[in-house]
Amino acid sequence: MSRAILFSAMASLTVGCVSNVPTDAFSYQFPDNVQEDLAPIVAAQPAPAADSITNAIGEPLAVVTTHPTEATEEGPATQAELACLNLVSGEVLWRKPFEAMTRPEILGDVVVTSIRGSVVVLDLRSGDELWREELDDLAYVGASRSGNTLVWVASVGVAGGANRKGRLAAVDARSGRELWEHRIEGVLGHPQLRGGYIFVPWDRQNIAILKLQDGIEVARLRTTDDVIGWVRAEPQGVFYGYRGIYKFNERSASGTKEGSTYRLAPLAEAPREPLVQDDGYYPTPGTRSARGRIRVYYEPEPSTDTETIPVEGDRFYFVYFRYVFAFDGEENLSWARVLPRDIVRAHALTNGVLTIAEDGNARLLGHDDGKTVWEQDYDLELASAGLDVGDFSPPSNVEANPADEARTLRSSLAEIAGDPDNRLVPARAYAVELLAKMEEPEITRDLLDLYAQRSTPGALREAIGNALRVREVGTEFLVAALEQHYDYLEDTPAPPLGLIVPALLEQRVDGAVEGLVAHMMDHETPRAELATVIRGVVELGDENVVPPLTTFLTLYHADSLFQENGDALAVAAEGLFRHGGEEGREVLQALMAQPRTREPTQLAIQGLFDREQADAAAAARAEAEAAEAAAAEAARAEAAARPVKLSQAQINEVFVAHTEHLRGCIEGELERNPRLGQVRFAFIINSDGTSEEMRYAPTSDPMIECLRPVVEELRFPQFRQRRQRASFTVSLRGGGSDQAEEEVVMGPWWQRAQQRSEAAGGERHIGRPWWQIRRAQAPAGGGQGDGGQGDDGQDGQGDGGGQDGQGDGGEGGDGGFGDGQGDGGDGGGDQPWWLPSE
Amino acid sequence: MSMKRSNLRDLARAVGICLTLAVVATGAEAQRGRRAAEPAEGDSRRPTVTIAELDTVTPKLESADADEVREALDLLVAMDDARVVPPIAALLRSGREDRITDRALNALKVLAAPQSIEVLTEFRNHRRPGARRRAYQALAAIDDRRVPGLLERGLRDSDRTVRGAAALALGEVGSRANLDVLFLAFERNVVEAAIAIGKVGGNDSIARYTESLGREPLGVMLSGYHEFLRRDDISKDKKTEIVERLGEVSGTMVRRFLQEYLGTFPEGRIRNQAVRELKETVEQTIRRIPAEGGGETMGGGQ
Repeated sequence: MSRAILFSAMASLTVGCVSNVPTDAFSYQFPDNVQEDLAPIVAAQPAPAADSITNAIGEPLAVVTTHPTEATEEGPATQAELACLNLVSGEVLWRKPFEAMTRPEILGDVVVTSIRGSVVVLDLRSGDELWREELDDLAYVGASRSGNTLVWVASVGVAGGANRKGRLAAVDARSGRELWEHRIEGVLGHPQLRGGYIFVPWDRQNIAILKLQDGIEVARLRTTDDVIGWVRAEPQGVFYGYRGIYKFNERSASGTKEGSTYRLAPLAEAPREPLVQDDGYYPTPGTRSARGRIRVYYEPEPSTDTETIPVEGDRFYFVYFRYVFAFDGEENLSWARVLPRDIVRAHALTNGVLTIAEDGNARLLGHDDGKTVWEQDYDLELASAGLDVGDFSPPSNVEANPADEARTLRSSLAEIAGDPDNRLVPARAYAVELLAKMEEPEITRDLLDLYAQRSTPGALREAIGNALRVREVGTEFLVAALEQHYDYLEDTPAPPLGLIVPALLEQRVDGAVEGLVAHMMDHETPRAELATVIRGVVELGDENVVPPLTTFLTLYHADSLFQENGDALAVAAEGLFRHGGEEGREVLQALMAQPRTREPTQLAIQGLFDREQADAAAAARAEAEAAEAAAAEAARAEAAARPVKLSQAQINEVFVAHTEHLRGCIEGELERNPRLGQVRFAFIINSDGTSEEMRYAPTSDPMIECLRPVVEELRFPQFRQRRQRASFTVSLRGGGSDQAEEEVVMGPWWQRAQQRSEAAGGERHIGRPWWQIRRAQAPAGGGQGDGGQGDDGQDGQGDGGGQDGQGDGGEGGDGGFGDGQGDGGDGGGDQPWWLPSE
Repeated sequence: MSMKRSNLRDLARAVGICLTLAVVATGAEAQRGRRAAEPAEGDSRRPTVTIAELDTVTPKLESADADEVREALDLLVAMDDARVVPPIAALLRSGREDRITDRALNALKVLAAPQSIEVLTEFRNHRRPGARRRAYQALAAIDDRRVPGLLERGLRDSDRTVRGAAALALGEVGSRANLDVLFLAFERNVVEAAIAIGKVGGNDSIARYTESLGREPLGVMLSGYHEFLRRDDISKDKKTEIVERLGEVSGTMVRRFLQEYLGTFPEGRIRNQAVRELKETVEQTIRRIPAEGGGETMGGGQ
C-alpha cells in the first residue's frame, strides 16, 4: 500500500493521466504483478459462494430491450422499449418507451443502460429514470455496484485510432452524485467490484485494481503472455481472461498462464472461436446485433482451489444464434438443441441453461438432456436482456413433449445440420463434424442425404466431405449410395461421387468397385467427377477391372470429349498399366501408337512407360549407389582394419610363399660361394603392398639377376602407413648355439664383430647349410616356440633357439619372425624350413 | 471378284451423299433414308457393290485415313446386308474420331439391321450426346420388338436433345405400352413427347393429354393435337372434342392451326356425315376466333 501512496505523487506527473480527483491511478509507471500489492486484495475477498440474486426485488429478473416493429395486419407498429420481467411470476413489472443503446444491467435497485451520449440509471421497481450523465464523445461500456456506490466506465478507441480515452466514475447509485472520477488517455473495460476493490481492465493487458473508497490504484495485474478482455466478479470469485479463464488469487502475480490459476479456452475449436464472456471493452448492444449471439456460457463453481477452475455442473453451453450445444468439462458433447428464434441472452445454472430468445420466450433447458424443463413466454420482440437470476431453479411447468422425448443427440445434430438457416452454416458444419464423430453407421446415410439436398450450401458440403473422409463406420451406406444413378424422369440425381469416392478410398472399401465401375461406364457421371470415380476403380480394384478400363479407354481415346482434358483417360490408362499385366501394356502401346489417339491421352500413356523406365533406372541407380556405398564402406572398413605397418612375420610370409624360387637362386650362389652364410634383402614396402629399392647382400650379380624377377613379383599385404623399411634374411648356416649367442650380443657393431671374431677364432663358424638343419616342425615339448606370427613387434620369435629363416626385424620395431617351429637346437632338425608343415 | 478402286470410290461418294441426308432423318424418315441409299432403278451409270466385296472393304475400316474409313462405311451401307454390321460394330467399339463414330452410327441407322441392336444399346451410354442421339435414332430404325423398351431409356437422359430424339423415336415405333412413360416425360417438359403421344395415344389418351392444356406451351400442345387429328384411327367425336376445346382456348395460333387443319378436309360436299360435321365444327370454331388481335389466352403460346 505504501508503494501505491508513493506512486500517487509520481502518477500526477505522468502524461497518460489527466484524471480529476484522485489522480493516482492508471499510471504507466505503476509496478505490476507485485505480490505484496496483491496479497491484501486477495485477503479481502469474501469466501467463494454460490451464485445468488442481488437485485432489490429479490426475484429472478430480466430487464430487456425490445425491438421496434412496423405495423402489420396482425398489429400496429411498436417502438423500442425497456421492460422488466419477473421470470417466476411471468409478469412484466414495467415497460417504458426507451431506445437503449446498451444491454441493461440490473444492479441492486437500479437499472443501468445508455442512450446516445448518456449513461442512464432507472429505478428497478418502476423503470423511472433516476439520473443521467453526459458522456461527451465516449461510449458507455458497463457498470458495477457495491453498496450504494455505482462504478461505471465509458471509453472510446478500443477498435484502434488515435482517440483513446476512458472515463471511470464512482457515484451514488440512486442520485448519481460523483464520489471520484478518473479520465485517462487509454481504453477502459467493464469494471467489476468485489471485496471493496474495483477491477478495471485496461488497454487489453492490464487490470488496474483500485480501492472503491477513494479510487486509488493499489495493485496492477499485467499478463505477459495473453490478453485481458474482461473481468467477471461473482459470488464465486473474481475471474478474468480473454479466451481462457483466470481465477484471481495469489498466483495471479505471476502474470503468466502457467503461473496463474488458469483454464484453457473451452471449445476453442467451435465456430467463430466463441468467447466465454462478452468482450469487456465493447459496449454490449441493446439493439438486435450479431454480437453476443455467439457465446460460451458457464458458471464457475465456488471453490478455493488454486490449481483448477471447476465449472458448475461440469457444463459449458455453446450458444450460436438459435442453437445450443452442451458440453462437459472434457468437451464431450452431451446434447444439442435448436430453438425457434435467436437467443439474445443465456445464463448457465446448476440444473441447466436459461435462454432468453428474440420472441420473448424464456426457457430452461435441462442439464442432462436439454429438454425444456420450464418455459415462459412474454409477448415481446426482444433485442437484448440483462439478467439477475442467481441459480434460478423453477419447478417444471411444461408437459412432456413427444418431440422432446424422441430427441436424441444424433437427431438433434442432424436437425441442426439440416436446418435451412443459411446464416448459421458454420454451426451447421460444426454439427456435421460432431455428428460424424458418432458411431451409428446410419449417420453416414444422413450425411449423404444432406449432401444431396440442392439447398445445402457449399461450405456445408465441404464439411460433410471432410467428415465422411475420416469416418470409419457406415461405409456400407457409401457403397449403397453408388446404386443410385441419374434419371431425368424420376428426378434422381447422380450420387455425390465427389464426396463418396474419396471417402471410399480413404477407408479402402474394396466392395465398392462394382458400383464404381458402373458409374465409370455411365455417361451421366458428371465430367468433373469422372476422373475421381476411375481413380476409385483403379485404387480399389484388381485385375478384374481391366476389361472395363480397357473398354473405356478404347472407346474414348479418340473422342473429342477428352481433347482438352484427358484426366479421366489418364487414370484409366494408369489402371490398365497397373493391373493389366503384359496384355494391358500391349493395349496401351497400341493406343499410344494410333495417330487418332488424343494428345493428352498419348502423353499420359507415354508418361506411364517413361515413369516406369525412370523408376527402374532410379532403382538401378539407387542399387548401384547402395552397392558402391557398401563397397566404399567395406573398403573403409578394410582399410581401417589394416595394420599400421607390416610385422616381420607378415613380411616373412610373403617370402616363404616364394621359397622355391628363392631357393634355386640361393643354391646357385652357394655353389659359387660355398662359404655364404646368409642372404639378406633390404627394401621399402609401400602401403599398397608393392616394394622398391630392393638391396641384396651379398651383391652377387648372378644371384641378383636370378632373384630380381622373383622379388619384383612379391606383393605384400597393404597397410595404413605410407611406406615402411623392411628386410628379410635367409640364414644359410643356422642351428649353432653360437649363432644364438650372437643374437643376444648388445653393443656397437664392432663389438659384435669382435666377439664373433673371437668366438670363431678369427673366423666365423660355418655350420651346416640351413636347409639341412631346418625341421618341418619341432616335436611337442621340444622347445616349440609359442610366439607365432607376430604383429608390430609384439610377438616374439619362437624361443626354441633355432633361427631358421627368421626375419631379423625390420625398421619400426617389427617383431621377429616366429613360426612356432623352433627346432630345439640344431641336432634334431634336418628338414629345410620351407617344407610344408606336417 | 473385286471391284476397281475408282468404281468403289465413286459409289462411296454417291452413298455418302445419301448418308449425309440420313443424318437429319428420324424414325420413318430413316427407313426412307435406307431406301435412298439404294441405287436408283435404271441408273446404269451408278456402280454397284455387293456383299461379295465385304472382305475387300472391311480392312479399310482400320485405315488411319479418315476419308478412307468413311468411304468404306459408305460401301458397306451400299451392300445393304446384315453381314456388314459386325465390322461396323467393331469399328465403333474400337473408339474412333467423332465424325467416324457418328457416320458409323448413321450407317447402322440406314442398315436398320437387328444385328446392330447390341452395339447400339451400348452406345446409348456413350458420353457424347451426339453419339447417344444417333444410337437412339438408329435403334428406332430397326424393326424389332425390343426396340421400344430400349428407346424408353433415352427419355431419362440428362441431355435434352437425346430425350427429344428418344421421344420422337417412340412416336414412330412405340405403342400404347409406352404411353405412361411418354406422359411422364411430357410432364417433365420433354416437349417432343407431345408428338409421340399424339402418334401412339388412343382415344382414351386425349383427355389425359388435354389436362396439360394451359400448363404446357400452346405450341407444344398443338404439336400433339396435330398428330391426333391427322390419324384415321381416332374417332370423329374425339377430334370434335379437340377442336371445341381448342376453340375455348382461342387465339391467333389456334385459329391458324385450325385453318391448316381445315385445309386437310376434302373440298366440296362431304358424304361422310361424321366428317362433314367435324369440318363444320372446325369452320364454326374458326369463325368464333377473332381474326386479329386475339392472343393466346392459355399456355403462353410460342
